[in-house]
Amino acid sequence: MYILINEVSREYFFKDKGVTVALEKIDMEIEKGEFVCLLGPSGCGKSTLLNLIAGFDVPTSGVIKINGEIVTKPSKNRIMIFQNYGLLPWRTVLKNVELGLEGEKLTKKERRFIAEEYIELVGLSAYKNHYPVQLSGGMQQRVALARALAVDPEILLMDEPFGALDAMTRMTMQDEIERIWKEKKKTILFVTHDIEEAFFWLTELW
Amino acid sequence: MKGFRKALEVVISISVLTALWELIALAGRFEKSLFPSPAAVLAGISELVEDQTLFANIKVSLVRFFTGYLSAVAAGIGLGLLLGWNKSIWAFVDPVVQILRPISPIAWFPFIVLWFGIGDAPAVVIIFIAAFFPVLLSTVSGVGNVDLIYLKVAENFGIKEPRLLFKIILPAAFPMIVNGLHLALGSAWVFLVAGEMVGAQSGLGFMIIDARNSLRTDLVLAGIIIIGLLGFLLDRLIRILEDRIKSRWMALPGVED
Repeated sequence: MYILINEVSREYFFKDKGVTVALEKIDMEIEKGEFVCLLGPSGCGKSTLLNLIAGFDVPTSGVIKINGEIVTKPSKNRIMIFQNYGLLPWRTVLKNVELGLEGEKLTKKERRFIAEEYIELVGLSAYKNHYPVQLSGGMQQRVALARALAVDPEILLMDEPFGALDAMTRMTMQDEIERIWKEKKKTILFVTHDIEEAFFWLTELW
Repeated sequence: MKGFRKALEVVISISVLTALWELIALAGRFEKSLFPSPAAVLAGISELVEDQTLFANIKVSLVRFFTGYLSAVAAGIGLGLLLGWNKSIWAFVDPVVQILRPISPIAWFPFIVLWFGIGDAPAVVIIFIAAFFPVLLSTVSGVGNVDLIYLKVAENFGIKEPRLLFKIILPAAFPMIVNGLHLALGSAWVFLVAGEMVGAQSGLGFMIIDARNSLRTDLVLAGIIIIGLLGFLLDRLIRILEDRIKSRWMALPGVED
């Protein structure tokens, strides 16, 4: 099993209010290359689960294994895409996409080449020298997507990525994600509270 | 149109002030040296321009100012980054800073002269003290208020200290740091003059003291006006920088919802 979630609980302890249980004994198995959509109302713990898989947080009990290894901290192999994009406003599109490549043993030229390739993939080549603030929400999310793909992760974790976008933009973005999922063979976990959006992805329900 | 209106407002405001001033000087029949008229001050300024003391003094003052200010900026941002990031150390440093901060830099003057002698150094040190605390405190608070999402992104892409400090924390905190730079510029300019009045033989502050010693109140006032104008110009310059940075940073991605 590629991603194995075994009896995972996450409880939050508060000084005066006691314990809040965000997740209770969750079991889940995800195959490589699967597209899994987590649907549920706000506050049901789906983002908590995504944070645990990303390694930003650790479970109070239970384990999450990816490729047989227990998740304890974030990794470039699973990149989170946030609802508010998380772009660095002081960097151009190109420099934003280069962010994850800067720690790797690449020359400046190679880095640029890879970044440009992914900017092309999301259709933003004409905007590579723009700053995030000069782009629309949909374009910013494309930049975040290019930045995530540039480090070639096996898993993409998407936390209501289109929550801040209008319906039209959302539809084009959905098509885009579908295309990229098929082309790049990524495993994608997609969190949403929007039933319609979940049905867009749906092939199998459990 | 807006620019024109603004310019008009400035011209009117200054003309009215000058006219009132001239009127009072004429009507009141004050002793000339106790209340120099605008005309006298204008003549004083051109006198200072002609004997070349004005530009020489401006140059000296600006060099001192930027030496003190820029070194305070470098020290304040550098230390602020480290202390803001290491909260446990800051907890010990903070009380000391809170006690030192309200002390006027001029209060240190006796020690400054003993330690640094006279000449350029006292004024530079006083400017440094005046600018240092606002820069330090705004950097510490900027670092403490960095949006969590930047830290998550950095963690996700494997950016660790010390690269994290320069690639993420510093730029993310920059809008708040620039606030501090602006504040510091203002207070440093105020203390430049004070510093030069007590410990220097040149510069704009000294120019005023020198004029007073020879009972040339027209030149005293000329000096005061020049200081005001230069301070205003410096403030405008840093405001342009501030606006540029904020327009790019503050409109953060995703806050439109």
